[in-house]
Amino acid sequence: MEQARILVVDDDHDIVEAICKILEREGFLTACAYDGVEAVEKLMEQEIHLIILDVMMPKLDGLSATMRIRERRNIPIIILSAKTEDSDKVLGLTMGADDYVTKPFSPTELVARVKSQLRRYMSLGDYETAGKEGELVLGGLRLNTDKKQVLVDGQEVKLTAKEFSILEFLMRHPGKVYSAEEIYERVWHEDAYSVENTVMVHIRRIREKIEINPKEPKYLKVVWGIGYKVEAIFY
Amino acid sequence: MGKGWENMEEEKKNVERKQELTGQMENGEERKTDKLGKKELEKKREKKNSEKRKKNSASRQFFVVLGFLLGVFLLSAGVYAGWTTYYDSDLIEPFVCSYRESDMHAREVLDAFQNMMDRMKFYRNSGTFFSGNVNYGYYIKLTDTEGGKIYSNMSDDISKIFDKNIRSLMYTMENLNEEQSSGEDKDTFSYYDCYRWDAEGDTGVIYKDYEESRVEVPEDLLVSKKIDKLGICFSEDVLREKQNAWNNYAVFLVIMGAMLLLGVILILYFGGKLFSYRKITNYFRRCFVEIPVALIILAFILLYLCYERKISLFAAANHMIMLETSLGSMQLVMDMIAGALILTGCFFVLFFGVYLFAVFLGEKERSVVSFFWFVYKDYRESLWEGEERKQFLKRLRKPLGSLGTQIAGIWKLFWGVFSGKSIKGSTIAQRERKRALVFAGMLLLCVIGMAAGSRSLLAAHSYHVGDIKNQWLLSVSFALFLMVTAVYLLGTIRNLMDYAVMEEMIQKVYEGKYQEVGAAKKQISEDSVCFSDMEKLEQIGNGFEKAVEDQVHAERMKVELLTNVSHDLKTPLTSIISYVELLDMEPDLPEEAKEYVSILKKKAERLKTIISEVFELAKATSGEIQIEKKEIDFYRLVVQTLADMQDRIDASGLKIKEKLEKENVVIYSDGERMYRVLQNLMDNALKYSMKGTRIYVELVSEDGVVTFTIKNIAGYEMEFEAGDITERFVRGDKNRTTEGSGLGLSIAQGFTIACGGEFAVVIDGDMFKVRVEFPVVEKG
Repeated sequence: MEQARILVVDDDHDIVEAICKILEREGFLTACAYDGVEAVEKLMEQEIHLIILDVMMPKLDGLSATMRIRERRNIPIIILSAKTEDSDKVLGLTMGADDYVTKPFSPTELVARVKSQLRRYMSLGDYETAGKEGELVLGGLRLNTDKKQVLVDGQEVKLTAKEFSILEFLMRHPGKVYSAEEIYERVWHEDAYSVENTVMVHIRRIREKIEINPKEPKYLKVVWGIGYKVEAIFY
Repeated sequence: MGKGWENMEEEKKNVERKQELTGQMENGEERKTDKLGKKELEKKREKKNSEKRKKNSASRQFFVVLGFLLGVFLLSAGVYAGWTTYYDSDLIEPFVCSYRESDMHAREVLDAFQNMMDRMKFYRNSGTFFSGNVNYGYYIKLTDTEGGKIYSNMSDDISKIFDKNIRSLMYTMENLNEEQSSGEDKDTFSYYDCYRWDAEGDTGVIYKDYEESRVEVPEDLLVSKKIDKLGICFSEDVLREKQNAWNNYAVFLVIMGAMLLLGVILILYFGGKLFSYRKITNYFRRCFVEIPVALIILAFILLYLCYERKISLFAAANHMIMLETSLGSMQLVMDMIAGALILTGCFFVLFFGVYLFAVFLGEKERSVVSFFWFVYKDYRESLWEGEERKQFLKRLRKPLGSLGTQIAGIWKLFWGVFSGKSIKGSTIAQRERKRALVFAGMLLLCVIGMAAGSRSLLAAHSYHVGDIKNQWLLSVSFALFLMVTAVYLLGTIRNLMDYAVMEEMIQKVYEGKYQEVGAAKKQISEDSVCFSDMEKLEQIGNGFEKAVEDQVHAERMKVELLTNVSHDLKTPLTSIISYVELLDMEPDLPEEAKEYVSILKKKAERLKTIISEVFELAKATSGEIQIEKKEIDFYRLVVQTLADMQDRIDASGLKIKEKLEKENVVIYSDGERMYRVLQNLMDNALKYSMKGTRIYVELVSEDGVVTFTIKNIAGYEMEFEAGDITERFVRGDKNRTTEGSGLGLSIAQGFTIACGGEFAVVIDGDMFKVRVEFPVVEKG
């Protein structure tokens, strides 16, 4: 893999410097910009593989910049924001961002997300085989029913048989919410009685394996008080 | 069109021009030209239209004014005719009266007779009722003689007087006389014997022509003798003649009435066109038009009564010949009619006076409007504005001097008292009560005056001796009565009107339309009775408005502050965390420094948690939180939460005792928030429980309420009140050694309430108990 160049955009110089340093330690090349307009300019000048973009910036804010960038380039965009509401996240993602990280973030998590996005982006070629028989694809999550294999952003994850079955069942119906009983009956093929705990524990384990931050899951979500679902992701 | 209208139109145009300009400034070049062309076209069209309108309105105006003036003329003619009719009818009355006072002096009676004959002469000469000679007879009964004597002016054909009616009447009288002479009721009635009169016909004084009509009574009548009874007779044909004459007069009355009616209709119709009733904003204002209209209608009714009375009177007279009507009371009615007519006339003069006054000022346009000057107050006020008024007042003041101000002062006092303005009193009820008392007092005065006046009038009519000095008392009292009533009513209406506006203002305040309160107040002049109340109301409205504005502003500030502070805290914290991380990655750090860095890392993480929780709580309590309510299963939620926190529970070494109901535990709430609530409660229990104790988690559904309870034994002494623990930043252990922001319970409480549930903390010794309640959603 050639060295990826990452553009870091934030109006706070210190944050930009810190992020750049951390990324450089991980072996990435970096470029800096301090507002939306500069970011768009930098994007024209250099070859950039990923952008980390702050939302609240002078001249051109992050969301507008995202939209502009999307008009020209298809590179991954990770949005940084101090806004933590779900609605803000949804807005950012619908604007064309690939991921949303809330401030204050932990540098390790950010690096993990950057790597994950780059893997998906760089191994884009593989995606041409997406949707082939026996394979379920949802965002960066790929599940091969034949090989009993799960790939998260191109990296294999080891799941137990039950975990795999649960994930497979939910991935076959993305966006649909299933109760613990329904999942149990489908996966265990037994009558469900007091299975909430069992299912929940499994779900938690799957999450810990496939999610970058299990507390803010991207794929497998608990619908509190109702059931579980796999988010329908189409990007 | 008048000055005001022109000004208004010009202003409108100006505004339009301004709008055009701004519009052009905003639009691009292309649109500008396009718009200009369009505008020109529009302008031309408008000009055309307005010219047309002007022309139309000019001719229309002419007809309207003409119609109005015609109406005024007809009305005045009608009123004048009514007036004269009344007086004419008054002149007829003495013919049909009789006298029955026992202690009347003969001299007075003769004077009355003489007066009567003078009147007859007047009528003969004027040719109104009679033509040629009129024959009449009269009789006089003295108290101290056995019988009376009948005198007549009939000479040539004395038999003429003995027609059927007279005979029969006299026969009756004779019978009466006979009855009385037989001994019964001797004191009351005694009539002249007509046969005796007939027999000694030559003893009566007979006149050939009433040109020489003089009542001659024997000397013995004049001296010391008291007249008991006195009567006048006319021959039937004379009365018929009178009847016919009156019938002619009746036709005149009808025509007059029609004129009056037409006049009123014309005034109302054209008046309405001229004064634009659309300016009359509510029904109360319309009263000012409708009251004079009602008065005019009243005048009509009275005129009709006037006519009716005369007709019936003469119809009766036709058959009775001799009348003994008690004219006194009728006279009172007639006087009232006269008073009403006078008042109507006064109103009319008032209208016309104001009109002329306005013409004098040169305000022709407004003058027409001012004809109904009380119709629309604004016009009245505008009429009084400007230089003309000052000049006019100067001119007026010179000749009138202080008299005008005196009169104005009296009127002001009068109006003030009756409208309640100059009555002191803190409340409307007090003022109204006082006003009503003053009105009642005035009414009493009027009634006394009228009673006194009518009494003297009655007496005068009974004697009919022409001495009716006190008639003015009745008229004045009655006029005063009408005036007092009218002013009181006007004052009441005015006050009611103002109260209506006040009610409107109250409604506006109630609806929260504070800006409209001031606008409503403008409908009322400063001298209104409830002006001060309205000012207070307006101030209340303004206060409310300001309070609401302030509140909205404060609320917005709070949210903005929250967002800004959140951002401002998070940005440096991001740097801190990042650089601490970088520092941690540094390989050549001494051992001590590494330890420091790890502490920094931990504290930075904690700061991060606290900051995010603080904002979460702030949002929850300020209502900025977004709640997405769904039907959720409380049981599932609890189990999911417990499973989610399994490793932390295991790590704590504490045991969880669950007792959870599964049935009827569906609630309507936000799952994500409620997860946070349960998570915080569990966290709290795990953090502060005594080592080796058990945590009891219960879910009970009872009477439509799901109750979640979590109980634990505190690992320290709880020295606080149950209510305090949910206060922000309050933590159980006062020395604050444990990790945590101290916001967990507050957030749990805030979220629970925001989701529609109830939250309670109970402390019992070392047991700490939290209860969360939600209403159950009934299935189906």
